[in-house]
Amino acid sequence: MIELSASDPFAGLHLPLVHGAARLDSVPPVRITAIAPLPGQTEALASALGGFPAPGEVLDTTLRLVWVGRGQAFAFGEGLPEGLERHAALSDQSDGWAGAQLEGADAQAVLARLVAMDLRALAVPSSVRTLLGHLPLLLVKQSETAFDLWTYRSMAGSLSHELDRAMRMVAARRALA
Amino acid sequence: MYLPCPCCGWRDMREFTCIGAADYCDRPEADAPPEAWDNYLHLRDNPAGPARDLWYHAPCGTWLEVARDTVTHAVTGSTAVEEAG
Repeated sequence: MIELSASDPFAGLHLPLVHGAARLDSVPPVRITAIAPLPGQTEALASALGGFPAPGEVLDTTLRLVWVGRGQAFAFGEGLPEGLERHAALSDQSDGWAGAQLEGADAQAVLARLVAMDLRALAVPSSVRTLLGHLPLLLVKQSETAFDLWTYRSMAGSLSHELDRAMRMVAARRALA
Repeated sequence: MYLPCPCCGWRDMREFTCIGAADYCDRPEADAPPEAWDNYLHLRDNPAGPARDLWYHAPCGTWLEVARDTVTHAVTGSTAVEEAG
């Protein structure tokens, strides 16, 4: 039998990166399950899960449930309730996504260069599907100074490159001021 | 330019793809006469004033009909195609 070994999506990309008042590090590997309610099953699913996130919502039950799109949420963590497949289509996405956390006093200033949204107005916690530069992005606002940034695993290098560049630029601006 | 996604609120245009006039939502029945299919595929009004366009918001996966005015360029609202039926 073939033994596969786990590897970090950001391997070789020199994380953590620290420039000025921003720090980028990878999020530790976590089980991610995509949950898409079957037609007419959203209420039954919500009672089995302890809730189902509305657009932009993050719910903390025994798992973290994050809205990720129309009729779809991600569950972060182990321990989905039994029998959930009666109410929803489930698929394991754990190794399809790469997550990095950007935190620090300048985290919002860095993201302002890459994400065409006002992140100050978002609640804590909340989730957003948007773009980072040209990359598809799932952004989870953890606090006013910490953002989890998820993209497709194949794009981990582009994600860290874009952020590295923006972090350097913001730090250089601060040094001039 | 910003467009209102029924799911996500006002978002930058680069997140959207324009498909064309909202006529694409009114697909003829399979046994409709050739004229109906010709109309569906090729013939479009060119209104000066209120118009409805079909857009796709890729980040959240919503198809939406956007109401805009071709004279003033004002975007006045949108509805999710799924909810419009």
